[in-house]
Amino acid sequence: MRAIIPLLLLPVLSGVSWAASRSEQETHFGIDVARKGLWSEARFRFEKALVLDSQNASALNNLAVALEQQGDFEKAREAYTQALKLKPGDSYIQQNFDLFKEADAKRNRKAKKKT
Amino acid sequence: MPSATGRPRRRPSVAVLALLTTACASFVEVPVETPLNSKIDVSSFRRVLIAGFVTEPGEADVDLSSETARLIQNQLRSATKLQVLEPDRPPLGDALDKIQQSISPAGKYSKAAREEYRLEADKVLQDADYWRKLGEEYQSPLIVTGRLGFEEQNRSGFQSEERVIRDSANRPRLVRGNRYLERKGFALSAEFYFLDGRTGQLLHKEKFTEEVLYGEEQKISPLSSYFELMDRLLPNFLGVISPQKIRGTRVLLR
Repeated sequence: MRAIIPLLLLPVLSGVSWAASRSEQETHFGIDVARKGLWSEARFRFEKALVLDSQNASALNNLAVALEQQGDFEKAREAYTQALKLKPGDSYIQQNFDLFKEADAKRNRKAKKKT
Repeated sequence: MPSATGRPRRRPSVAVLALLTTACASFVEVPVETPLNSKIDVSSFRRVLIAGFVTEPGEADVDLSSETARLIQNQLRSATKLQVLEPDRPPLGDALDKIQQSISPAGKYSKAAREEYRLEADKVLQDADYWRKLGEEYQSPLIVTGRLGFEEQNRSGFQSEERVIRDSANRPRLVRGNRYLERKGFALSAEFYFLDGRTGQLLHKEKFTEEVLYGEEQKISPLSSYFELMDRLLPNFLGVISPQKIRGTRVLLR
């Protein structure tokens, strides 16, 4: 019986790694299109990557950037926060989030500057 | 360099190395442009009228009202879809001339006369009926007006500085001291009013201030300074009525 358990787990584990690998592929493709300025397509790819692997912190970070670029600031903030939860202390994600917050503060300052 | 087997070792080319580095890099830096919405919605207007500006009465180095009206007209033409109206003379000028005539027909202003002029000009800026009538004349545009100031600034004074001098034995020594520095410049203040030409009501009011200082060796004319300051101020002005972008970079992770 003990010998059978790992065999039973094998399809499950291979399914997990397949999803993770597909998620990675989608992330890479998303980066390629983002570099060409196709942010809607990039957003779709990062979202798809997250459907395949919800623990993909890179895809979450990238999705946050795409959302920010598209002006969806509330969702961008959520995505950055979630990405940092998955990868606490990641300097790249933190840097992006800091820059996002800086730009957000500028936006809010402008909105409140009405005299 | 020969390898352990005695055969010369092949060096990877720079291009291959660069390709490998790019392929293996865990991140990619991308430029982003995040949108910044305009402060007021001007989609219901088809035209914009720069009505002129209230400035200090009397002689000035720069004709602030007409220079600013012209600059803003040019900016609005390229940055918005609004039709920019171009009256021969800023319409507010006539109303301000009347005030000047009533206060000082000779064109000389005491402190009290200046204050009176400011108060009367303020009344015009806040007179919804005046702006509504002007709006009717120009087919209900968005009206831009306000108050402008351009003043010389003197910030000359002593400033602390550190210098390295050499003593008799040629050893360097740090000396702290004060030096008189002549620094002059200009300050531009602009309070813009955005008015609805259909009703004469104020839609938005915003104040901007910019300052520039020059060293004693720089001889900059007031007009050049004015343009330098307006160049800084214009993006903020445009941000009130047209969407702007905040440019930056972000990192995408592989």
